[in-house]
Amino acid sequence: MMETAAQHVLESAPGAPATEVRQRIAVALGAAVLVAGLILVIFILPAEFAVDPLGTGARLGLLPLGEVGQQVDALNKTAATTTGQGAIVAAQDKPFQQESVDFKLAPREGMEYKYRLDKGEALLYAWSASAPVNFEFHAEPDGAPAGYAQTYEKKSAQTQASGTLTAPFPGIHGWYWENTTDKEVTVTLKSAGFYNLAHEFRNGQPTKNKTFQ
Amino acid sequence: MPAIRASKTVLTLFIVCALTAALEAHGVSGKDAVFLQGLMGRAIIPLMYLGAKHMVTGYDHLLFLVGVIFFLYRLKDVVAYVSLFTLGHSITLLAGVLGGIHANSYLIDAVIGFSVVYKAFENMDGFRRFLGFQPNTKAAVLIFGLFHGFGLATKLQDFALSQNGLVANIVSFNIGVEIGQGLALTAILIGLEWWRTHDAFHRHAFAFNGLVMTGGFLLVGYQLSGYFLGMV
Repeated sequence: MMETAAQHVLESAPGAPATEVRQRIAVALGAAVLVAGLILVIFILPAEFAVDPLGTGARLGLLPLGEVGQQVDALNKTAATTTGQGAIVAAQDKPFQQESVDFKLAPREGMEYKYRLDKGEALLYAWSASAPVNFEFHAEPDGAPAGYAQTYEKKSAQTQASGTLTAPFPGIHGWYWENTTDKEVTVTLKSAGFYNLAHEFRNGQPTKNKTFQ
Repeated sequence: MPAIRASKTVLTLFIVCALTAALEAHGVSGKDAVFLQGLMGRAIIPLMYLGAKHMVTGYDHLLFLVGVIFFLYRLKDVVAYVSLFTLGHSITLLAGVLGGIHANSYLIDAVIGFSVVYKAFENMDGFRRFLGFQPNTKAAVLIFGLFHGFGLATKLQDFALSQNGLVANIVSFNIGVEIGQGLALTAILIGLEWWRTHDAFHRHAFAFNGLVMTGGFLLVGYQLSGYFLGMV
């Protein structure tokens, strides 16, 4: 039994002229490309890739679908590449503390307020001053020579600052504020963390220790 | 009566299209991916299940299979062609994953889309009509089978599969692919057999292959868009 490949294809209109059959196939081919292209451009590009050359995606409401999809993909990609670096969770056994304290700075006076933090301990802070002050956010590592400090942030004539700190080493971490005016300035500090000890310094000397239970 | 038959056929086509549209587009779905990545050691049955699921829900493979068996009336021919397809995709699935050959899955999937176009054009008798000869149909199925298997391999490689039990897992996945293919083929054949008993089959065969070709072009366009528009 002879079997040729041609048996497995369409024997459409056996009597039709070859040119007519060719034309029919060519038309089908062209129509397939055209229809596929239109579906792609009108629906798929906006809905899948947030690409909208004809504006059909916006008109049909498909564009948000693509945009959300792109965002989710981007987020997933970021999450995949930053796992272990992106989110830092450090569980704490120590009691949670928060306080709001006011400090009066006499004219031309400078003062410091620092929390004792272990390495990796986090502090959430926000302070504001009634008039512009110079400040330096810094830390003194445990065991460092007296007077040695590492600066985190130093600025002149500020009325507020806020942020978070994760202590890079055990020590006391906090602020030096300087009143450069001829009037009294009040600095209000709000903070939250797991500290149990804070020190206040005036004229370079510890003047007050505060413990937290 | 012919009008009713024709509308029935159109309705069936519509349902099939609606079903396939609901199927997943690209590779292994999210939950399964998480499972695959967490896998340590052998998991014969789950991998077989995933292989079968991938085949049954992978419309690129299904469209190609529809094209391949569309004009195969005898079971002997169906078995011969499907065996070649199986041989092709098994070689590249195993070699691709075990040999660590990595290709861009968008480009591979674009070739798979092209295989659908090719098969539909062949079914339209386009090669003989335009080129004057018919390229070997069995060789084409084998060669495109290689690409389909490579596509499966790149999708599995996207997940950091554990080396522990890898061979057993890939072979299980491959067996699952064949099971899924068998299930899908059975369904397609039943549908085709039913359709062939109607006069409408001959009248609509050309148009149907045009639809299959459109689907193939759509897959090519979709995958190339994915390749060029990021998300890689």
